[in-house]
Amino acid sequence: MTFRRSRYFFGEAFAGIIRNRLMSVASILTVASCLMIVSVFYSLVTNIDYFLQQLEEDIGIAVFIDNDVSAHGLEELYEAILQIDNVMSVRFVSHEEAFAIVSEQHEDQTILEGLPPDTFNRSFNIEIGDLRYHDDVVVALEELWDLGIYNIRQNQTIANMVIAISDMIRWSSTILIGILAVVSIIIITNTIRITVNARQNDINIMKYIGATDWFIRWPFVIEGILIGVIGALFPVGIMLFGYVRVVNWVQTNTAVIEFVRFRAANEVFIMLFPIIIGLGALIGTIGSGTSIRRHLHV
Amino acid sequence: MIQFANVTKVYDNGARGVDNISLKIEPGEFVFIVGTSGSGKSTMVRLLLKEIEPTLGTIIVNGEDIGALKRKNMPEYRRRMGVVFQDFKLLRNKSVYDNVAFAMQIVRAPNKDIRRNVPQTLSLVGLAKKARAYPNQLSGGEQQRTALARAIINRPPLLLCDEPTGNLDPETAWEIMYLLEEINANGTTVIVATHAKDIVDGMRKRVIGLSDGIIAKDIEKGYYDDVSL
Repeated sequence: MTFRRSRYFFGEAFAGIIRNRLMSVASILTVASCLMIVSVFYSLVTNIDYFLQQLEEDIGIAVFIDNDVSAHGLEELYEAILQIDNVMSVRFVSHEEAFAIVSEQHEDQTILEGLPPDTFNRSFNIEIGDLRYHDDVVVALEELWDLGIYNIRQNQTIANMVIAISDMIRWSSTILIGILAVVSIIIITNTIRITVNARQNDINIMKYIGATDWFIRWPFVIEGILIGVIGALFPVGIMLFGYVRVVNWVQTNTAVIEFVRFRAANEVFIMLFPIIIGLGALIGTIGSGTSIRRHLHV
Repeated sequence: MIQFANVTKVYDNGARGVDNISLKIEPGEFVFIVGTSGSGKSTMVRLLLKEIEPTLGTIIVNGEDIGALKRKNMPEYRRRMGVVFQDFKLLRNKSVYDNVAFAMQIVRAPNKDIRRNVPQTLSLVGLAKKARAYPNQLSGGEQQRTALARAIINRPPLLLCDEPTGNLDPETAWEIMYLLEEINANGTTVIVATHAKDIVDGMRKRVIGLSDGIIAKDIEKGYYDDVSL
């Protein structure tokens, strides 16, 4: 497409939008509504996913160590644990630190009085990269029993539950966003089809004169893309304005989730905005492309 | 230049548009195709325009069997002919100038050629002062002259007219016919499907009479009544 042709096609596309301004506004609002739902849902899903990630970080494995393991033995065990696949980090908890943790958990300090400092075993707290590998890491740890492991505390049930919830949300979000995209395409196709029907006569005339299919199609496709992108700018604007405000409101007014962090706005937008604008353009392209196709057989 | 060889068109509802017709039209000819409604005039025009396909037979235009034309080559084929319809078929949202310029834009004519040729052609059809007007601001005659300007702007070797005076008053109809005669005098083959007896009788051109889809008569410099059944 040469510059001169592009100018002509864009001119025709803009003229088409203005000429059929009522239908154009209806199409833009339809796209905006659908993409707003996608935006809200995406923000919800990405934050739920983020909450689960935070939860995953807390579901580690604790390896308690026999009291008779020497400093050299500790180092050997530490190195062996680090070698296990999917182990993200290993943190050593000394007798003193273990004592302090336990004493923090009990209001009545009298029950701890007189206990020697090595009452509570030393341990390695292990963080796993992906909870899906929780069981594999436990199996690998069990093979290190001879290096002085006294006990392994694991959270298999919680890990499995978090994995199940996480999977469910990821799959349902993908399916729902897919359904919303299809619904948007169907709605926009019908809306643009009305516009195309109104211009059937013009399309026929162009064909009689010898216009190629693409010469006729381009202005409609560009019009569809413009409608889709303009429609996408509404949810983008609303999200820019509203996301931080909603997050702040929820954090201020909802005690239940004060302990979790929300995704930062820029982290959400960096993925969301290209998706929404791309989806808008795609919806417009498919909508106008399919609407005009059957009108070109003249 | 144009040859129909045993062409039959049967529509989906069983009606026969044309029935085993054969004819030849030489380059530079001016031909009237006449007949009553349903006689097959429009079917012939639609076949030549390749809007419909013949059920049987072959149509050759400029040595090319148009039945063998692929869909992707249709625009190129249609650009080699100008078409004028009874209902003008102008783009309602474009000015007179833009309607005519459109035919040049689709053949990728340079802008400077468009700027030069469109006013010239509009002058030729007497619409120089109406260039900026829109179709709904024009009379029937002016609309048809716009359609004519659009049809000839790319200087096609063939001009196909389907009832070009059907919606016009007699005086305007004659103006259009004189224009067609002038275009024909410059070498363009002109085919006019019409049932306007006065026009046919006044022009004294070749007349092909259709009746129930068959060629009833084909007379050089004929009158309407010569071929009507």
